[in-house]
Amino acid sequence: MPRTKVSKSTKRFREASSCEEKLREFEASFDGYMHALEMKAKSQIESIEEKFYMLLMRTDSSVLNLRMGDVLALNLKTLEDCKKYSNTLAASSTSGTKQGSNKQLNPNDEEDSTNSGSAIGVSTSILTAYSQSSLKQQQQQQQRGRTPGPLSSARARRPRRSRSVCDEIHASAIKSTTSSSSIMDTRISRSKMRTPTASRSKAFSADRSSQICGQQFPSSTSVQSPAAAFLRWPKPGEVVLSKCGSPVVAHVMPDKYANVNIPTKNGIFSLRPKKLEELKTDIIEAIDSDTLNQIRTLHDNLNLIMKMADGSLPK
Amino acid sequence: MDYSKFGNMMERNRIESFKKWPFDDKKACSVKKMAEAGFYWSGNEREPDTVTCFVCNKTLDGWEPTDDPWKEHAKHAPQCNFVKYGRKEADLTVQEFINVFSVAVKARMDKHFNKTLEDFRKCAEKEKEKLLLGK
Ligand SMILES: [Zn+2]
Repeated sequence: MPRTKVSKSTKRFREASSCEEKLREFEASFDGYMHALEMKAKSQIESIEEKFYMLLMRTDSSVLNLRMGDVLALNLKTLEDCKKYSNTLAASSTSGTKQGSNKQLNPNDEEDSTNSGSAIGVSTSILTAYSQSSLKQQQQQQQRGRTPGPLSSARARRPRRSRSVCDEIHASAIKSTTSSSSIMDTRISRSKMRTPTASRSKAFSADRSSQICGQQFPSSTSVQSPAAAFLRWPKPGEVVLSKCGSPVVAHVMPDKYANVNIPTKNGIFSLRPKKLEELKTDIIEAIDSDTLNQIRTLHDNLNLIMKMADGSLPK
Repeated sequence: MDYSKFGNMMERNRIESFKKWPFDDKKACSVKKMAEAGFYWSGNEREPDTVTCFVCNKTLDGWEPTDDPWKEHAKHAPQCNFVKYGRKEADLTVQEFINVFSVAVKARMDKHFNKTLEDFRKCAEKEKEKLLLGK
């Protein structure tokens, strides 16, 4: 009985192509896994970046500007010491700190486990350890800020985050001016992004709304930039001049921090990532209903983000 | 405070890391000066004069008694964030220290992730070879 002859070359071709297919499949799944790993690594690095960013954000600038040498000279013995001080500090200061857990991991674990396949998992714990370490560091530094003595002079010298000549210029601007002192007093408590001459402007300016925002942020309760501030966008053709160091780009909002900017009749109401002490009711009158709806949506979005964050980030 | 858990992130631990160092405290590259400039000991019995920066991970050996650790660090790793500040730990502000700390942590993570990916790639290559041989 004859049968269809399969030529040797065809057979070989089939075998070769099936092998090629396997290889292609293999490479495709390899690429997939590789990509997933890379993404995971990237997101973990981003998350630690975020943590450091928040650490800097939440730490009072008077603490941030202390010398490490002074901080270390305190020679805090135990974590409990740091906590005690950080708690008393939290009670007296507006800037609270998040307490890390007491789990103590050795950062040097890293070296011991590089040969295992679970490197990513391991480095997560390293991250946790490091971020906890830095929180401890922060607590320690806060104590430093509270201790009287030679340190308090350093603290008094540098009450603000900004280390530019800004403060001095502000101070001299306040001193030299002869205009209404009540307006000038509130200036100290407002954003340092403000140009010192703004209140002299004839044009309608956010400064006029000081009756809305002025008393909200008495300078005695906050040496840093306030939780919220009124800003205004420059008008067409208006030159924006920074008197506090380097030139500013007009359309970049102040700080690299997360903030919420609400357009109102009186200018831009800018909320900073800090606790707002109190809010005058006339702020609502200055916001129209469209904007209010937008804020509502923003509020929902923020809640969503926080829910996600609380669900996935370790406490 | 138990500083040991901070590893070579802290100057005092970098000083402790030097198990064997050919230069005494009077030399420009004494242990103290090396640690101040960000280096911890990464040598061994055979090559005792090997150090690594805790931020940029640059490893340097072949030190001479007159070498200035800061200058050598800047020459070989000008991109290093610690060298850019150019001040020892005690003279950094808390903010600057946190910045350096975060860069060092990220560098470690990067190194770690890259090693993981490299291991995975090698493992895949081996499997691929098996596949080709055992067709
Ligand atoms: Zn370096």
